[in-house]
Amino acid sequence: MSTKRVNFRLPEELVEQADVAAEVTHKDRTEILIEALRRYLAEIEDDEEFREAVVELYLDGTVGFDTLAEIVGRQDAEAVRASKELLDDGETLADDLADL
Amino acid sequence: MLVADTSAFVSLAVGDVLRVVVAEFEVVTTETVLDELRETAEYDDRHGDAAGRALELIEEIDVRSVVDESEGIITSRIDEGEASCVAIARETGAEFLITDDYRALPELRAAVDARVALSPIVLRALVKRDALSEDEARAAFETIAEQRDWLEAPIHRYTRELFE
Repeated sequence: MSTKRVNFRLPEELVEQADVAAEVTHKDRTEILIEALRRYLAEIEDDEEFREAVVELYLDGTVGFDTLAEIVGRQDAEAVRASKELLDDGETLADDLADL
Repeated sequence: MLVADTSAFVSLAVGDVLRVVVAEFEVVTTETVLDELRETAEYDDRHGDAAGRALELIEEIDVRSVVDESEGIITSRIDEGEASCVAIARETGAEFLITDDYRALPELRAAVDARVALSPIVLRALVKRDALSEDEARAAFETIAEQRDWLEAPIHRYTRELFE
């Protein structure tokens, strides 16, 4: 797994609590933060409102297909992508349908 | 010619525009879809009512049986009704396959030569043919789009741009 260095500030009491957790579990502070963030993301990714919001971000071009697929799953991501493609072509499709 | 699956019939009937659709287009479907509409019509909800209204128009719809069942592919996303529509679209060389099943959309698009379209596209086409006013189409779209699940809700909001 590749890693990336990031800088952010945390409230002191959280750092202290994380350090206690690290001491008790024989892990380092980074491992504690990674595990906490993983758990949080797993929980929020199960939340339908969150998934719906990510679909919105894909539809307005803010996030790419791979990000969408990671969060909502590949099959649903493909459904969203197909819908977007079709709707982006909606006026042409409607013109051709109207001409039948 | 356009082939419509169960979800398309239910949507267009929910929007109260199916009568206009069958008057304007040559609509083809399958006996499997007809069975699904009969099953849906037994439910006491808006989809059940819509399926019942669709069945009232069945005389206006060309219902065919699939010659070669193996042509329709059933997958986790393509159900039996949709698979029969794939088969009939191939057999008839229909120009369009209409569905409102977003989850089946990628596989349906790959399975047929026909162009796949959603019910809002049909509404737009009816406006272009002067069979519906802009306001009627927009109202039908909003009625169809009610009660969407988490995946469909944002797609519905995106679709609304077609009517603005």
